[in-house]
Amino acid sequence: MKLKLLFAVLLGVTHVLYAGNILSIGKSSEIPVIDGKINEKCWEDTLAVTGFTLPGSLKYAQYQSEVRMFHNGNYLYGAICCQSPSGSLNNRQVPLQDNPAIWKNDALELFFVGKGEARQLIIDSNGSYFDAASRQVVVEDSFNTVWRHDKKFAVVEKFAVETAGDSWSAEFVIPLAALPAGELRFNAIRDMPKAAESSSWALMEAPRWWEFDTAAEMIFVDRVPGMKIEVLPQLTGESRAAVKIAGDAQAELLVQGKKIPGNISNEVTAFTYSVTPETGYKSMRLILRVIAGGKVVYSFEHEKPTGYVKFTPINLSGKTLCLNSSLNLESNIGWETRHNYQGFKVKKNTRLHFLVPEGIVVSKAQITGEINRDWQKYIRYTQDVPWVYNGRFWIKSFFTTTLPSGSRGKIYYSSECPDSIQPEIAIEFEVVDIKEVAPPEKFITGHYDNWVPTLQAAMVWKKTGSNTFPLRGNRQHSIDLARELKKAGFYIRRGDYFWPDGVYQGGARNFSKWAENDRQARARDIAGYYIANGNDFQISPAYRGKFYDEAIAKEIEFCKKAGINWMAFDLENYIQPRGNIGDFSPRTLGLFREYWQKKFPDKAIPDPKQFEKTPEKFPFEHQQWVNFKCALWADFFGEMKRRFAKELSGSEFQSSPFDGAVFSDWNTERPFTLERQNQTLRNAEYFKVFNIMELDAYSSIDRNLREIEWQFSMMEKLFPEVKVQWIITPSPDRLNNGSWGFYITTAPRMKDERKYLFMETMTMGAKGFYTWYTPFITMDYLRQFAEGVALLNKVEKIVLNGTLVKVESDLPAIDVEEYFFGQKSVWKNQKQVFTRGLKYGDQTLISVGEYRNLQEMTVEVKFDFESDTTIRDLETEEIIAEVRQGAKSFTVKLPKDRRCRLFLLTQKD
Amino acid sequence: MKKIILLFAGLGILTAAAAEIRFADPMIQLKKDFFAGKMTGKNSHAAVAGKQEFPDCWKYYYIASGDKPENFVLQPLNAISPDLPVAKLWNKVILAPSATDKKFEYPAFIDIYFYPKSKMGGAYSFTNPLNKKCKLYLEGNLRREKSVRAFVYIKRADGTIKLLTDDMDSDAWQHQETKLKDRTLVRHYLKLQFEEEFNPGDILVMACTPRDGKFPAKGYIFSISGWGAKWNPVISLETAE
Repeated sequence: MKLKLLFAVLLGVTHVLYAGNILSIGKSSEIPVIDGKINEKCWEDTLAVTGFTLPGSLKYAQYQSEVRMFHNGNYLYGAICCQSPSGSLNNRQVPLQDNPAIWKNDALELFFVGKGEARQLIIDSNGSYFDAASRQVVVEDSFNTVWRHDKKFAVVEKFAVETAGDSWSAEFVIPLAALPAGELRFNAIRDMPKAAESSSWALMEAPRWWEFDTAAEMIFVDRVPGMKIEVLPQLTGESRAAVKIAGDAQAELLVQGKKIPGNISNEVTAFTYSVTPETGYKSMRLILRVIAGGKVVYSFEHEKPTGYVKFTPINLSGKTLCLNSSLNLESNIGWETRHNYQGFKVKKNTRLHFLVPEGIVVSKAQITGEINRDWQKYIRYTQDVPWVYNGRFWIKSFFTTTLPSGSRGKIYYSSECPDSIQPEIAIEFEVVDIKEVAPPEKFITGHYDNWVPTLQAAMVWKKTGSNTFPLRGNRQHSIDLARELKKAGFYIRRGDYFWPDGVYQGGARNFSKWAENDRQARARDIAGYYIANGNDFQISPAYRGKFYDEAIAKEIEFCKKAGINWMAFDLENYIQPRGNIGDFSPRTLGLFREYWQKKFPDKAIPDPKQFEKTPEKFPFEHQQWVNFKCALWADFFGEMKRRFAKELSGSEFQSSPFDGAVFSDWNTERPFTLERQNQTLRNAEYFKVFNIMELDAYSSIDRNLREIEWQFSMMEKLFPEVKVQWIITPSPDRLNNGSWGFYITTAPRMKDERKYLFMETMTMGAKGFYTWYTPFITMDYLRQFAEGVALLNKVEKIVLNGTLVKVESDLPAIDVEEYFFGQKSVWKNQKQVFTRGLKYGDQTLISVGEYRNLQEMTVEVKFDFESDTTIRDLETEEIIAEVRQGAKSFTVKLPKDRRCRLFLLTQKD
Repeated sequence: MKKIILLFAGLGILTAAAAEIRFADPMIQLKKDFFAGKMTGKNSHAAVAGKQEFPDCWKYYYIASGDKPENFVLQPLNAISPDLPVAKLWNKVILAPSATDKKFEYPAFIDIYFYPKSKMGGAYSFTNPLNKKCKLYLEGNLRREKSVRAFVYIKRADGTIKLLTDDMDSDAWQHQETKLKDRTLVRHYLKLQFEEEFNPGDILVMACTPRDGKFPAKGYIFSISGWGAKWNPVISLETAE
């Protein structure tokens, strides 16, 4: 208990600590007949132990129990009465003798706990009882309690059980001397494991019957008033309680610490009251007391853990809500909502309150008042949230502002559900200046999942530089929208998560329907069994059957009508998760034989089912098998692409800046070893089909640049014959804040990190910058994105057409400890400063960036100047140097707040 | 060719292919029939495909004696009254050798759990409902506890046995590991992928016995329902029109 208290204080727990029940045992000279029937008057003159609750939830048990006790100076007399499920008492079993296992039956346990020892009495509905003593009980610390039964200990003098309908009762007598001496604690536990309804009288946070720190204080007195609880006190909105009490004793009810006036009639004190929610997540609590002779002789506490709904903003920039007035853009907060009600989606008619300064408007919310705070007027908005979820982004709030750019301040939010009020929380806001920018002509700019419903919505995004939108759906609206967007000059990607005939529902996962409905589409393992992957069958790379044909034909028909020819796939590892254990389907094996015969006409055809049992013994055959499978899988999409290209090559279908029908994919899956190729079925052949690949950048710019450059170099080294066009897909902020999970990073944060990434992308030779994904976008990100686009527009031709040139820095290589691809490791010989250059005609674009040190630094950038050259800072347009032909370097300063700089080098005539 | 597919688990949905009709989870049907009072004292219930019912298609047994399909003695497990308190409280179907056997010491199907403490094992069967010669495809995965030995076989109308799989063969099953926070959950699946003739009077039987002669005390899992559609056994019947 002490430990618990300490933790409670340390953690700042608002939970009201339990004061405990009190039970007085009165004296009576009347001797009841011990026959199990509780019909003697003496039982009425006792205090009722009832109001059993389920541990944890603290709800009242459906099947209640009642215990009554008195003493005569020598013996303790007890009576219990228990309600049971309908019909459960029809088949009673033979009583067991002193067997502790009777707790598994419909039973009731009484615990009398003294200092260092306890007595336990279990009685079940069959008429069995078990009594025991335990001598090493430590009330304050259950961890040190040794609960050892002394089975020889027998305290019960007399005992009887009786049943009546769906309830059973028992009477017992035990000598007072058998109870532990000194201060006593008491608790009663109802065991109903089969009905999953075990309950206790004293509140228990968990079903730990051996812990007694919440047990009642048991006092022996001369006399107690007869008391019966007629209506158990409730804690549910409009509530009531009723207690019948004899003589001049009084019943008292305290709810949330406030005394409730009672209404007395015919010895029954009735209480009616309303339980209202309070701020915070404190449990609601009541105490029912009996006062006799000015003393509390009985106290029963009941508690209800507060139902709560908690709102936490997810998509802030750091901790700031960024608003915009310069382009009248609407900001949003996507909420993570958590509640403790049963179910995922619950109707709770919750209200979300905002206090915002004048000049900020909460859209889709009602004004419900205004207050002055910190010498400023705040408007109170209330957003109705009928349904709450345990999840993210189910609920959003929208904001617009007329405050000038640069304004800062605080807004406050709180929420109110029927049972509790979430305390007010402050969020910093900042009005971000976003300057309108024209989208690039051919460099891809846009955002994943930006499913604009109308052209008007697209035109708003255009202001911040988007020139590309994804398109989903199969209906006429999608066709019309595609045509409108194209007419307005936008590029269109079919999907973002494309799979033929799977764009609208199921996305890429739609492939599973093919394998589900066509046995030929299922990959098989070496024993011939279908390869299952979770809920899906793995698809055979050899499949070109009915569903393949139909889906492609259907998709081509749609694309023809919509006038588009860019299919943007997202083929993650769930498509081909275990390529290495397949595919031994008959068609694949047949095609392998053809492949081998064509490639090695002089060699006998080996059987993959044989050599793949021990591939390490057949390296040549294994290599060929992997190459074959990769080629087969590449052709799966290659054939698809050929069909699209055949039908959609005209200029009327052109929906991307690239030539002809385009297949793009997200994530390379890094197939840089033979076994990785075996698993993913990707090699150079795959990248010939998907010659536009996306690379994610969801962590720090420092980590991502190193990973991206490594992937570029591996692709160059392993697949030199393939020329992949890259699109960088950044997240608006580091995922998981970059502090945990796969995207964890050791690199420090910067305000303009995503703008720097855009600038770095410009010298990679990449063809686009396409955010993943729209729900995470903030105004601050859009500012960086738009600033990046503005820079790009100055040099778009170089970015798209330039060739990479050698640019280095004078700084020595370093070792970097990072979570590369999620794994912590040290990468040796790493750049301190990222330098890259693209040359096109007489101009060269050079980027210089540093993201780990963040201190002001001077870098000597090594570059061979072939003629006299002017070096201009692309951002400020300032000429920073005039360099003579033959020079080998120029000097660059990286201030703390400009970690990436772009330089445009123009040769003089 | 006409195909009728009986799906043991998953949702009762119409799939993209028009020729395929999928049946609802037999356990859902079993529960529905049991609590509707249709199954009191019976060891069978109907398979339902769309709006078509095939009565008494599924049957449940305990294995009274025997250690292999050839000598299994199957005795019916009858549905005990849904008024039994345990059935009511837990919303579970209770199957036992007779109406008076209501305790778990006897074989009983309770949802997907089969408690056979004092008997040799349990089984359930699927009868050819079409009353004509057809081809049976049995595909998917049958989840089972590690300690169980599962047999899948066809008992022909003439009494002959065609064993499809016996999972004492290590190639016959696979396991799937799910990594949890502090432990790895391993689930065992018996692989099913058979194509067999299925004539009138034939029954397909899925049976289980103790793997090492003794069941664990708490009962074991022999699932016909469970973890996602593809993992569950699917029966397809194909007849020549």
